[in-house]
Amino acid sequence: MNSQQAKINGQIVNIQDGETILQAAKRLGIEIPTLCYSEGMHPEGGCRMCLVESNQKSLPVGACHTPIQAGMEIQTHTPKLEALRRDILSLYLDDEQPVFQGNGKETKFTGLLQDYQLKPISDSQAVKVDNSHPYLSFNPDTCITCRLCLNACEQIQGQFVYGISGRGSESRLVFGAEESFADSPCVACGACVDLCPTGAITDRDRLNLTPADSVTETVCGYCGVGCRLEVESAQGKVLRINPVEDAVVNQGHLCVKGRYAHSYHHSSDRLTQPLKRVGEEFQPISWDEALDLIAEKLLTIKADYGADALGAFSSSRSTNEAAYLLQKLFRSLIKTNNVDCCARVCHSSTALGLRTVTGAGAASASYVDIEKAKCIVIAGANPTEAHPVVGARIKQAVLNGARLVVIDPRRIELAEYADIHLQLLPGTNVPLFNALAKVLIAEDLIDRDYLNERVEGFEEFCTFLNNLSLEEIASITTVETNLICEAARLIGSYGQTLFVHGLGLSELTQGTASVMTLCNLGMLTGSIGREGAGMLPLRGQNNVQGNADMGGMPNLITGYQPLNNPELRQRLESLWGGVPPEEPGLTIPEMIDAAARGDIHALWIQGEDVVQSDNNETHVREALSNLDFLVVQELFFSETCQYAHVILPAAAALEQEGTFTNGERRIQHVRPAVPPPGEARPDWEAIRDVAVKIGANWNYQNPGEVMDEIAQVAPNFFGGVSYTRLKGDGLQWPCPSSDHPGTVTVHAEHFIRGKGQLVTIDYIPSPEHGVAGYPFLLITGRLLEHYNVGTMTRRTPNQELVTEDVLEIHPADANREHIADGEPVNLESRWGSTTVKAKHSRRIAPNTLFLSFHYPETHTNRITGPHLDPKSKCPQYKAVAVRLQPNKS
Amino acid sequence: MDLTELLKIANAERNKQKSIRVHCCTSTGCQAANSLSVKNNLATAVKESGLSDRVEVVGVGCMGFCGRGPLVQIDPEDTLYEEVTPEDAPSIIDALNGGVVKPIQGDSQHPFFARQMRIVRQNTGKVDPESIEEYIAVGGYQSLYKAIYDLTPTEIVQEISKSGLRGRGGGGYPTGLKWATVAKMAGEQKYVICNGDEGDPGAFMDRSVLESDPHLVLEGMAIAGYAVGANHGYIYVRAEYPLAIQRLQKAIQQAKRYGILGSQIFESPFDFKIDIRIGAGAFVCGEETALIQSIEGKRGNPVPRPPYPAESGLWKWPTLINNVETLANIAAIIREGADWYSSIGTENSKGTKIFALTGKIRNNGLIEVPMGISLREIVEEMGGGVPEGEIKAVQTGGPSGGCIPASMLDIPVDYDSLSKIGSMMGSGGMVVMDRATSMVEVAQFYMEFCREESCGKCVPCRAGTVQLDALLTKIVNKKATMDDLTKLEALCQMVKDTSLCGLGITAPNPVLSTLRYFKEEYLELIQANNLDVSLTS
Repeated sequence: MNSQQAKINGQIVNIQDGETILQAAKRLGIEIPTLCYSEGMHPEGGCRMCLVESNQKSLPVGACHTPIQAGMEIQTHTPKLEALRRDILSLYLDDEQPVFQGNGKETKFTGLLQDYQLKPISDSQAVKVDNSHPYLSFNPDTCITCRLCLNACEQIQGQFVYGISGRGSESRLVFGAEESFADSPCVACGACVDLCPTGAITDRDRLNLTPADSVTETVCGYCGVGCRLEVESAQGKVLRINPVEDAVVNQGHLCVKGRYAHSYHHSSDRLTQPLKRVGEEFQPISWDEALDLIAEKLLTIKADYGADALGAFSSSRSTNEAAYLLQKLFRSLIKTNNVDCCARVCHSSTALGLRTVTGAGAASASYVDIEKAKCIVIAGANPTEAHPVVGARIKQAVLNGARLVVIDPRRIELAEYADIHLQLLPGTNVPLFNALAKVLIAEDLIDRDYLNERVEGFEEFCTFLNNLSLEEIASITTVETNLICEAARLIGSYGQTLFVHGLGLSELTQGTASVMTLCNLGMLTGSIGREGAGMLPLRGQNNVQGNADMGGMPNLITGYQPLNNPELRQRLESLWGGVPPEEPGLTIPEMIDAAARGDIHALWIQGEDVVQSDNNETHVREALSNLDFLVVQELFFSETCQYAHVILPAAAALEQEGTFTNGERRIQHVRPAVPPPGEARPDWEAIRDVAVKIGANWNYQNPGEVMDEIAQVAPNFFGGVSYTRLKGDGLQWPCPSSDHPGTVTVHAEHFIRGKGQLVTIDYIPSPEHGVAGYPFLLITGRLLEHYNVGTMTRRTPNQELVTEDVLEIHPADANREHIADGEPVNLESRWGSTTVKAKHSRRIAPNTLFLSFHYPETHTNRITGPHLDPKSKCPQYKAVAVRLQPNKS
Repeated sequence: MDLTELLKIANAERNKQKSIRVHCCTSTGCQAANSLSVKNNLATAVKESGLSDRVEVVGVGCMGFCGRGPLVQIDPEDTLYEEVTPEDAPSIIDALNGGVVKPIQGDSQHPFFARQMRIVRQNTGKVDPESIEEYIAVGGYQSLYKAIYDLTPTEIVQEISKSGLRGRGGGGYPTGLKWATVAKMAGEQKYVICNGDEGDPGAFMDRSVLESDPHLVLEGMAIAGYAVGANHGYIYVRAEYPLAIQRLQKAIQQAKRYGILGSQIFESPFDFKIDIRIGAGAFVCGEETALIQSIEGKRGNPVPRPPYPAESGLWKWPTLINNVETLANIAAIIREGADWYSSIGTENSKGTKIFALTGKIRNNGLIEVPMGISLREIVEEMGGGVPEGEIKAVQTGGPSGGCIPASMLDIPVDYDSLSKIGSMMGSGGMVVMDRATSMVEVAQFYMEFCREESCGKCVPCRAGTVQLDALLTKIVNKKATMDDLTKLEALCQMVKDTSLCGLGITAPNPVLSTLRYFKEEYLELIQANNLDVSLTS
């Protein structure tokens, strides 16, 4: 042994910094038994199973919490230690007061008992089991109070559901002050279930002991975080979903949607056959008929009204390959650029804003920067509900000492953890960000070297800010001047800051402006292109990033290439055998308008319920009913399907192969865990087959071949991407060559556009601000338990967790308007009205309201109006002038 | 505030004090025996007898002889009165005027007092704990001034190391070494914690120090803060000590008002503030990692060490955590020097130690004695032996300690000697037992205590103490067999070998030490069971 070595069971081990005896032993392949330990969490040290003998200590030491040190000679399995372990285990099985009563289930704990020739005393009748929660259950008779659940809840999710009541032998696991799982603040992330060594805490899926006949690694189909899953299935049905332990994105964690809300896959109302409209009815037809009909209709309408009378909405729920093929079909065969994706109605402003000022329309940072960040700003995003796994990571970062500024009109959960919460009036990001910039510069809290070397427009920016008055901004934003200054000083004192942002910036008429003015802060502080800092937009859907990357935009081809780029056109000529027009096509809202006018005659909508999710629902319904031909690819008969002429049954996330690109530009391999039901097929296959019917020579045999073509179309972004390289955690673009490792931090050397651009944009009130007779501003958004329009989650037990949309109203407003908690109200904007239950909540500021849009019967989007960001065409969902009154009917 | 001003306050206070000071104990013990009425009556008597110009009645801290309270002591004559009632007051004052004394007059030269050596308790019973001026008048806060202006932090740490002072909370870890570890840690924030969560049954040394001389502890903390580079201190006091808390609060306010605590102490760049945190009744919170969890607002459970608090303590910053009595030694060491301090005591145990002498003993109370004094001297000479019969054993170290048989009374009282024979110094509880005491019941009493106070985090302590308690109960109830005794011995060893924190590791000690010295008592109870069995069969 040298001075950097120790010995375990006679084997020499080289000491690694900060490593415990347990970890060192593991490297040597020596397994030391544990009960209360889990890698990555603070060692609890309570079960004492991992005790080992050390030459440096008289008493045995806990291997899980004792650092290995030079010169140590450790023995892990001496007869004395093995006897101690057996004795400790028998303490749980005392005749008089058994801590543990068996329930017949084989668990880590019963496995240990067997290893030490011990048997549980009795079989519990499980009379006290808490089954109050739709997913989770707790059996106190099998709880050994090891506290792994408690630690997981604190150190992974940061939810603090569990507590220990009583002392010593009286200590019991409790749900805080609540009696049951259902009443507790549990968010059903399932982290405790994974770790419970006795199965005392378990869930609906794990109570089902059916053994899996296949286990598939794939990627979650819900939000843009892109968690990796391990799906257990039997006979074509999903049994259980586990997180991939070492996934770089989710680090062994999942949320209530990703882990549990999977039963929609096998819902009885899945679409299983192509359907054709006959009058007001829909009739099943064969795939061949459907494909023929689509091909024929597309060609006829093109012949009758021209190529620009057709359009396509590619889906952010589907794969990159499907998105790529749909835009290719419309661009190369129909010859129109009327191709857009639902990013238009969420993050189009983000992509455009980022691309304008930095050169890349995507996150500059990655999720790994969350743990590296010293200071985090969250603006217009509610990660613990909408991106739960990232939300949990941010919460942990803050609990571990990162500073946090939350900028949001609502007192979101993370605001409780923030150093400063700037609770601004909805839609006033631009003046607030300008004010922060003004204070940063005025107090010289900026990175001058960075600005000199990498940024342009500083002089003009300073002049522009000189003319702004903090007091005036305070009055516009309703945020006090001193709070603005305090926030700026906090950010400035750390300099490099991670800016996490969301739809609260993007979905406004000043959406693009909000994003660009936030980027101003990213540049002043020298954050963009640096580790642990930069811009990190939280993308909405599983593949909304990818959908835009693939060219699901009317003005850009795959890889954000301008339509008129001569090199690209040359490349397309050889790869596609045809090029699209140079003129950009229409965006989604423009296509809807055009359809309403009668200028668009046919639409292909891939996996998107525009009726429920797009703004101004009444107008959308009018437009769709005006179409000559509408193709919809869907899982379920959605609101939008009512207007279709042909409906193609689609494969869901767990039923197909392809790739998803998450919010940090990570392209990950999606694999089928179960087959699609009936005749449902992956979207890309249907598109390929229609193209063939139209006469194209498309003979992709699998999505991997599509990806190979994507790599050739956009070599700067995807040149190095191929399925053979997408093992494990995939690749983060830009990845230009087959030997390129992918990019964690974009703009690391210099901004992609050359220099970063500071923008001088002043506040322009939206048409929804200050509307006479409509005294409230409504924000629409999402809840943890449901996903967007709820098509999937409403068909799972999540439905039992949250049963309806409710309107959050500040108690002061509610009292003034005589609205009781739980009372239905008529909510009315200039664009439409609906009836919804009110809920008193202090999460919302006075004079603002919040409403989710998960249920079609809520008609949230009847309320949202026609106003778009003029640059990105993203609708304003986050500030709508409304009035309300109690519903007395 | 500078040194001149400090000395001015001291002089003014001394000039203000009357030539005769009637000290009446107002600590918890004497208050329970109605000493506040005694004090009032004494004051009235002084006024009525017209002695106000030369006599003053002062409420003071604990004089130590708690078994005989309320105590009144008069300086400069050093007259002592014991078990004083309010009605005795006039005659005590009358005696100052040459009258006849009726109440029981104590002997201030009794070995109980005479054999003591007072360093920590130097001022207790002499100064009003609620007056910072009285503390300053006896030289208070001059050590802090000296530390800040005459010594560097490194020199202070060296001085404490050289003094040989060891932790008085029970562990006996060298204080200087602990300070040096915290001092050398990098960290923009550091803390000093005073552990006042005294919890051993029968122990009340720390309560007495906090109630009687709170400024001494504050001064020790501030010096510690200066030496290790901390600017924030916490005193963690158990809620069962309301008077101590009240006096600490008052003392902190007074010190802040004089600029002795807070920002720029003595107009130096050194800032140090002290906050009080109150425990919620858990014995285990005396364990340093559990105490830190409790200050952080979490459930007071121990966490594995390392990292030690010195490296990563309160809110993960380097933290110095010392017991009340340890910190109460600091001012004297700085004032008198390490050489003076290390001349007291034995080779490895320096200075003095306070003990709470209780149980079957004539003179109940608190004593401060030099390390190395023999147990016999404490128990027989100072304590006056047991009231009836003979001594059987002395329990030291509380629930973590052991029972020392009468045959070993000549052992010197120091850290190493006590642990060598299976007991420990502990925090200073000393319970004397006579021949009528059942040692198995004593062991069971402590085991029941540990079972109830186990936090429940680690399994050996949580479940092991339950089973140990059950086995001891079985033995006491004469229901046990030899198998049970074997089980008891094995379980003791297992709990000792495998528990996470000191509470569990030492919980079997009272059983193990009674098994070592009084095994026959266990055997007798087991044989009684066998006898019952044979009689019934």
